[in-house]
Amino acid sequence: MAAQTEAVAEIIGQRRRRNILERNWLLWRRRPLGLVGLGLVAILILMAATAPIWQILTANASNYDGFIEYRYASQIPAQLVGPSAEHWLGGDRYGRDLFTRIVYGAQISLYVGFAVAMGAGTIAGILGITSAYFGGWVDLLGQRLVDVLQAFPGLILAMAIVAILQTFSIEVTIIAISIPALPAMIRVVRGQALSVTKTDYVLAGRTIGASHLRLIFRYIMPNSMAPWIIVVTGRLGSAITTEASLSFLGLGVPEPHPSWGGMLNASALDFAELAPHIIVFPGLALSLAVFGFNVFGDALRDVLDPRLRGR
Amino acid sequence: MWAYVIRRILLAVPTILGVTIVVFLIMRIAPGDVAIMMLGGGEGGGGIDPEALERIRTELGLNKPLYEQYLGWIYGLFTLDFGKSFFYNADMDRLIGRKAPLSLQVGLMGLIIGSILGIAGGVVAALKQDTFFDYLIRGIAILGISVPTFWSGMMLILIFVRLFDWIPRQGYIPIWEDPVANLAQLIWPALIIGLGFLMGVPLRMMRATMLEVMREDYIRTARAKGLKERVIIVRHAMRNALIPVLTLIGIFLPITVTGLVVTEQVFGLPGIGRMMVDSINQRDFPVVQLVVTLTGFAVVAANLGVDLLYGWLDPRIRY
Repeated sequence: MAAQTEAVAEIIGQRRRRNILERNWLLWRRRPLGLVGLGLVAILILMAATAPIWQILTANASNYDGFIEYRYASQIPAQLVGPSAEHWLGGDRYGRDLFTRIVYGAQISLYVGFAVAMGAGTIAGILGITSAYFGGWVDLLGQRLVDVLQAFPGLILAMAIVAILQTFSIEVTIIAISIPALPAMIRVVRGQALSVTKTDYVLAGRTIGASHLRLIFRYIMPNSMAPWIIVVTGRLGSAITTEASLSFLGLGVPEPHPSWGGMLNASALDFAELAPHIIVFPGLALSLAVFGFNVFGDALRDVLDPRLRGR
Repeated sequence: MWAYVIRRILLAVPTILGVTIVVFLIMRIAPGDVAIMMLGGGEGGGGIDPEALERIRTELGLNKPLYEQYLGWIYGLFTLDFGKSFFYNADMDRLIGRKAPLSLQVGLMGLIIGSILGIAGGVVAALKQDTFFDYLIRGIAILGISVPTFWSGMMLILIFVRLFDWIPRQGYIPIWEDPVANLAQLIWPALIIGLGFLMGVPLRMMRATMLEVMREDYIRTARAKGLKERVIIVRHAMRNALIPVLTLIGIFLPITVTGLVVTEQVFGLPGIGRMMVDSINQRDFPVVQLVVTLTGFAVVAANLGVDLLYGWLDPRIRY
């Protein structure tokens, strides 16, 4: 508690000001779970970035053939073999090196996670702020639509969107996950923007004749940022889970892309009796990645939202 | 109070109507002709008898203009005629009646497991704030939210197979026929969804509100009166901390449906969730429309109920 008060006091400038790193460290030091999350996220990013290197390292032994041009399944000798020195996490049911696929899978998960969080986050930010700022019947109608979408189970809406778009690809998956993510994000942004719009400094801005755009970009947006960052980071984990669920149902990222959820599809369970590693490792990677983002997002919310601090 | 209730109900009507319109349109925008699918044809419908196609379309009412189809469906909802599934070839009410008990049972058991553990865990974590226990419990809660239910379900089945050479039975044994077999089968998916979101979300909320309540003046008063700590926690703190947690009921419904969709798939259970996956893929409009509308209705009703309950439980809130 004491360290926390100290940290807060420093930030509001009552004590000697420390540099930004020091201040951040003070806030994060008190959040061991958040640090664990930060570490997991860092590992995930490292995995995605270094994937080609790992492929070269294991290539001589694995016959792993990228994730696009894989064709001749039955000719490959590593089918369902368990973990070994050659295949660190074993081979999958087509004989592809599982470790390489999991490392590449990090790219897909990160891509989907960030694309959904940033894409839906940006759209929700724009819609939420304009809805709050202009109010009136646009706001009323928009909010009813948000109500309607919130009454839909997210995964079912995502499945229906995939059915409409009729193709299976990473991009379609991103769209299908983003739309159900919008309503909750719009709610949060609109709520914050609504209270900011009613503050005296916005009134002051209006009085000196600031334009709508200036009011929105210079007054309201900067002050609605904290909750926006919180909902966006909060989405990362759930976007990755939803991608995995869709791919698991065969409606998401298609083979041969190494999506972690796709590796766990229904038929994987049939092979898992013989070779448990083919479902243990992808699921582990998936769970740890989502866990990392979730604890990180939690800690970030703690740091950014002083009202929640200490909870 | 009554004015508030009536206003809320009036506001709920356009929401539910909106749900029906959105789901109706989504299913119809989706490419893929039901009639062709029913005749077993692929894209474009080559080699299919046009007369048979026409007959099926007329039979299913797909020839009418959209608004007529929509109005007909809504009229049906009001007269409790929910239409017929295209593929299951059964009346919707009988179909739902057959599929729903399983899903309701799993969902309800999951909800009970989740809320009991979540509330208990949240209280303990709050009382031990910033200790190892607190971090552990919070870690478990976030882990529950993070681990995808289909994977934990698969792992559970894998453990059963490898260690006990046993898997929960597929299909569905109604509880009124054989309660033991029913529980042996359904407790596992219920545990899987119960230990996920349904535990994690209330746990975190309970911890947060509990921490807040424990700082209130009336807790200090209770301590000053010399009440036992246990009485303070259970009677004074927990009771009040529980109120905000109730609001979660509204968000739990859609989450549970989502959880059931994948869990039923893993455990091979013929419930609502699995039916939804098939129905979306096969463009079985009546099934998807009715299930989504019912869920939407339940969500709106639950939110309304929670708000009213809130006012009743917390005398400070008056409408």
